[in-house]
Amino acid sequence: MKKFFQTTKFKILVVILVAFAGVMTYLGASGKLSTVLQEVVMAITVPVRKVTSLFTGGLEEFVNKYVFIDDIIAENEALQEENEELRAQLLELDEYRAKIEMYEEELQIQEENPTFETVSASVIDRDPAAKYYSFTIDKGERNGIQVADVVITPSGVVGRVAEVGPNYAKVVTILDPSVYISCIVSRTRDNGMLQGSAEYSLDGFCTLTLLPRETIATQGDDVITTGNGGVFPKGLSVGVVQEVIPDSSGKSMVAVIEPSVDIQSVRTVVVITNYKAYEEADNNSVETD
Amino acid sequence: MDLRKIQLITATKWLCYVLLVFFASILQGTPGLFVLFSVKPVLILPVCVAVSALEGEYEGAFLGAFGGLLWDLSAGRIAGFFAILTAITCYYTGYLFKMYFRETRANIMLLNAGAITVIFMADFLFSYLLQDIPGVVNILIFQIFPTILYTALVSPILFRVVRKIHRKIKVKE
Repeated sequence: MKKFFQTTKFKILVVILVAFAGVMTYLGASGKLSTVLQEVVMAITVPVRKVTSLFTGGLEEFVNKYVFIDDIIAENEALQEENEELRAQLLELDEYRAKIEMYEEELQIQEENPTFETVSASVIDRDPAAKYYSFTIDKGERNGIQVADVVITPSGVVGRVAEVGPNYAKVVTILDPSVYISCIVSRTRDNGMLQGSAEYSLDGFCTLTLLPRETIATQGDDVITTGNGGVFPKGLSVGVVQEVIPDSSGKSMVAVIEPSVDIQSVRTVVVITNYKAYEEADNNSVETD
Repeated sequence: MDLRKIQLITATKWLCYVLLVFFASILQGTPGLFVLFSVKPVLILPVCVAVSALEGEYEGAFLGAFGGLLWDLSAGRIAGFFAILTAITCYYTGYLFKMYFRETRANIMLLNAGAITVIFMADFLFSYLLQDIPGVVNILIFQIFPTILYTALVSPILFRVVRKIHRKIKVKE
């Protein structure tokens, strides 16, 4: 037994484990996840990951196109039916025009932000042990991305940047309970706090908490960001209400939200690189003066 | 055979193992690859466990430390977390394999299932349970356990790859 502890290999292994423990302690104290060496390794492997990601994307397309042909035929028939319904709905446009005026205020919010600078990126890494479907994208500091930058798609909010390297960035999604977004139900104007949920994350849902008890929010209502908190800009689509249930304390209501984006399988995203909360606050105060 | 040639063969073999771990880490993280019902297998650990079983517990532990570091980067954990867990797990699985297990498919799957369970339980404790987030048991049942099962099922394939390298690149006596 004594000889076991005296072997050189055992001593080397102990030294390595202690070194890792030291690195972990240092990184934990400094608030980082990765060492410089890991950033270098990741920077080197990003091009390879991009290639494999492209390959699986192409392979998936091929499989969907030729193997699941029955699904495609069924989808085609369904689309033709839908096309006929849509033609009938075109005749009712005038009726909807009046309702569109109601939503012009929300549309104006988006049109008022042409100064957003954005960077498109592809998802190159989704680890099986990643928490709440977080992922890595193929753009980083060199493209102007910084920690806490908002990640979106044309459909809605995906999450925010948690860590940045020279040519990669780690994104934490809105399914993560550590991500809080101040949101509002578009129709009823009820304020709430969007937060990921361990319970609902497996289904790809999150929750809108702190809704008032008397809320009339219901299934199908859109949820958008308010801009409060300074991380997420105002007016971004987050998702759609699926159901509204009382929270555990009974003092408020919780809405289960289906995100506008399929977080579990999103492949390309856009990062807003120049959103600054204080600039928006200044603009708002100028308008009210 | 002279010493230089022996060292060259050994270095080539270990370069192959390192590249295999690199390749496994890239495949493990590739979006959409090997996905079954929203679950993906861990590929780094079976490679390191296989090396540990065939080359020795210390060698497996060192490679496990390296593979664990790559896994930390990919999974968004603090550097060293999976490295330490993988190193220790690979050390003990190598030891157990040498002392008690024969090289059969069932034993390899069992060993990998045990190793990945230990690592994921530790990860579940620190990353989920201690964060005091409600509903994390669902993640354990519907995400972690299926991942353990899937990893165990694919581990014999990776073991065969490592075994091929072990048998092909060796010092001929």
